[in-house]
Amino acid sequence: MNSAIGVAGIVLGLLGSICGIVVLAIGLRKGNAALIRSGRSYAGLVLAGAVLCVVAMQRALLTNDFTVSFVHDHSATTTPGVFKVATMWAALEGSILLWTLILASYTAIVAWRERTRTDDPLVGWALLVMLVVCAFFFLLLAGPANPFGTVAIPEGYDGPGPNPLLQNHVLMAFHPPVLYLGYVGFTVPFAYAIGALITGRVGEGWLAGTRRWTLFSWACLTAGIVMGAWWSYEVLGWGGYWAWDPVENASLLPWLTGTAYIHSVMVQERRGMLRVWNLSLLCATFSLTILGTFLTRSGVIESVHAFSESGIGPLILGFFTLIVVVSVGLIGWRGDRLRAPGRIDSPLSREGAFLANNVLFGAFAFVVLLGTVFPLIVEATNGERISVGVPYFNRMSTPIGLTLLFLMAVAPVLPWRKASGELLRHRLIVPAWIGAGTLAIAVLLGATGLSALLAFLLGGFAAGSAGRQLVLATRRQGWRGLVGRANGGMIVHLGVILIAVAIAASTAYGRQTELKLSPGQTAEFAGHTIVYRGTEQRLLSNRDVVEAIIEIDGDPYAPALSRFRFGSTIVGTPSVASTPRQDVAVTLLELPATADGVVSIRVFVQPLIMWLWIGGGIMVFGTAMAIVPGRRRNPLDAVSAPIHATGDTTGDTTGDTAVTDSDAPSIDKAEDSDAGDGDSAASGVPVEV
Amino acid sequence: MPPNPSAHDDPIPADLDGVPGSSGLHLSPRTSADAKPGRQGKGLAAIALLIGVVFAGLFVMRNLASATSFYLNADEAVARKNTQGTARFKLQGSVVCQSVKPVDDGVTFAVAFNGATVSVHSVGTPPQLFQEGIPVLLDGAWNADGTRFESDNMAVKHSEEYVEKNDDRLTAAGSPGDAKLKEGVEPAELCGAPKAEPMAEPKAS
Repeated sequence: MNSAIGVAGIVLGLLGSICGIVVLAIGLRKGNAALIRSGRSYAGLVLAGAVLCVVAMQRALLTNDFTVSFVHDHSATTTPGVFKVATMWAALEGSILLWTLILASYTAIVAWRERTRTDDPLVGWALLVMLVVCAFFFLLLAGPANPFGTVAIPEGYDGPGPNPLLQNHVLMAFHPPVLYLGYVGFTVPFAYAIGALITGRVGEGWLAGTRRWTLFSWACLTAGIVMGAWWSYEVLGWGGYWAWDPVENASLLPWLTGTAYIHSVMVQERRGMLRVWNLSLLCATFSLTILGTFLTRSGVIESVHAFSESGIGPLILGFFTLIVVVSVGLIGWRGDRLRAPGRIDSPLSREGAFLANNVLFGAFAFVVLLGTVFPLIVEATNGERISVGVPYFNRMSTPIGLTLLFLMAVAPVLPWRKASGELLRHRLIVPAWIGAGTLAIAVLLGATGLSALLAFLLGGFAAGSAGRQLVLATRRQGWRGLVGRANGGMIVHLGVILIAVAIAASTAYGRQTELKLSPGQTAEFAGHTIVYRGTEQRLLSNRDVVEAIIEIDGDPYAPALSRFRFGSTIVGTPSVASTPRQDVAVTLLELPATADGVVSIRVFVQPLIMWLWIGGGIMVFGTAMAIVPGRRRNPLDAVSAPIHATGDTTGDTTGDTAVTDSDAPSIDKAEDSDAGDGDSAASGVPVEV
Repeated sequence: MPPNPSAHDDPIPADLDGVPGSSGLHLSPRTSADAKPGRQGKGLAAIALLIGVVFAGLFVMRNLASATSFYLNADEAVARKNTQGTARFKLQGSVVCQSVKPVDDGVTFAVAFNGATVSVHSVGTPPQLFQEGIPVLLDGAWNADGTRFESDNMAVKHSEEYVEKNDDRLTAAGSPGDAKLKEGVEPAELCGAPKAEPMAEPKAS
């Protein structure tokens, strides 16, 4: 029954996608507006198919229908409720199903929101592209990733349950869906980019239309990555949160190119430049999400996250190749329309800073991609199997990260076109003092190490710069000084800075030790007193748990080892206590042979870990603020007039306040000015008209 | 947000002469900085860029080479002992039955692959799943006289799904006697140990 419903859903979604593609293609080819309009309705069919599949799968999981192959292979009667729901994305076929549901939802939402423009060829092409992607994922579900196979089961059969690591923390229920919302969300701006290239409407209109889609996807990707790091920290018990694992890298790569894009797109919107670059970044971001899917699900890499080897690898690789070829071909074909109307006047300008930002993010993405796929290249070339170690990624990312922090401090105060030295000195003096103060405090607290000290200095510098912009904006506009792209972006910067400082501190000053303790025995480590009290056993529905009772400075900790009912896998669960100053985590390495025997534990003490998660939250909050429209200029006002202010508009005489947006082609330009991004009229630089 | 059709959807929004594809008449005011750099300036910039790219490439490749280590099965490790020297690599093999001996700073044992055996000294507490017969992945290097592999990091490869579906990899030839692990078979069983019992709280001695 569930299998039949699921298969029906796949067929419905696949047929809906294919019919929609055909109808839209004919309509667009013949310029038939009625056909283009009717293409929209197929998005509803696609969504209905995906929902049917997911409902069938969830029903099968929750009712223990082991005749469905996916449930047979990956679920168990003893799996707790929330993890039963999450089992859908704990293995290959189900994760493709989740991807398809999210993609179909995005497609349907785009079709619905564009209902007044469905005869617009650009929208038609965008929908067609999204339906092509939908068709590909339904094809995977119909073929090598079909979760609805039927299995004959003996009476009383019970499944193995999901991978134990994936049912050991509630974040498993949220991390993959949020990450997928980000991954899949980039399909929308990509589809519009392809539509713009095909129709030749490569101006700035489609950028404005997809701005919020891009920001939403980026926020979800950010949240998903941070949740993944948190899950890793709480579950894997190695004391870290990022291991440069290939699958972690697969999520970081589109984030890096997506971040570059949401910065450089402002240059195009403001000055019409970097069109080829922006289109390339967008296509690269979408391509990298597909490449990440290939790396994760083809079995070509070994990773703690990777699914088993499957037959979908060649198909995904083929689709990735198709995307790259089509994207590059279209950009080349439209080359004549993508020429910039101007060029960067001075490297010491906002657009110069964005360009530098893009070079750095591009370099970052390149070195991560190289380190990730290098073993595959070597194995394909000479058959040798190699691994690229963490030191490579750390050595490459540290200088790039520090330079980005420096840029984060300087770029927000730069005006468009050109900045004078005097202007920079005036605007950077306070942030520089904040950076110096941060460094001094760090040194007084005993901080050492060049990289960490540089991170504190530049972190303080960048935080001062972002804070300055927010203070100026809120002085002028009250709470509205926190919304809009520029102001929300400054909040995001604050989150990034917190994360950078937390990474620097936890990496440089984290300490760990391995202890063997008898009951009642005490040990000292990093200023903490550790006492082992004994063990306790708990029998849960799906596993046996043995906890070691540890006291650290009088507080109880209970690191555990769990043996799941199926198989012999034993999973450790660290016990973590977080404070704003530091985290203390304990991992149980080895149980004592007897009740009064020696237990083996590992203790980690790492400073500022909590600020990683807080920083991630601030980044998502800042992106939400960036999505909210900022204060808009009355179109009847003179362009040189300040935005209607609720606060002080005269506090800064250097051009931070009365911002002109005479070259702004859309309402988003007015939002740009909210943070007082010191524009040309005030700084004496002419503007385009 | 639905894109708003606007003038900026025009094919050539920045060219105000309305001729698609033409370079058009630019009406933007130009500053002195708009003066195009001369051929010599462009040449110097290109050379500087090229030098920068070359140096960056060298920096990346140097770091990549220094952080790269080979995966070698036990038989490959023995065959390459002379060329490998004391350079670090990742050793793969299965723990030989009755070879495990706890020592003060960790454990010693032997791993086997395709008939070749390597003695191992591993520092630290082994992972909970470590047992005889199980495939392991060890980070480390040969000692100075090439008689023992000194490891400071051990990973145990074991899950039923992994063994079943990737039998061309580590587990394929890594089990004692080159036997493949099958679903539901405990590694220790291959060494004659009984099937693992559910984990229990340590009993009073």
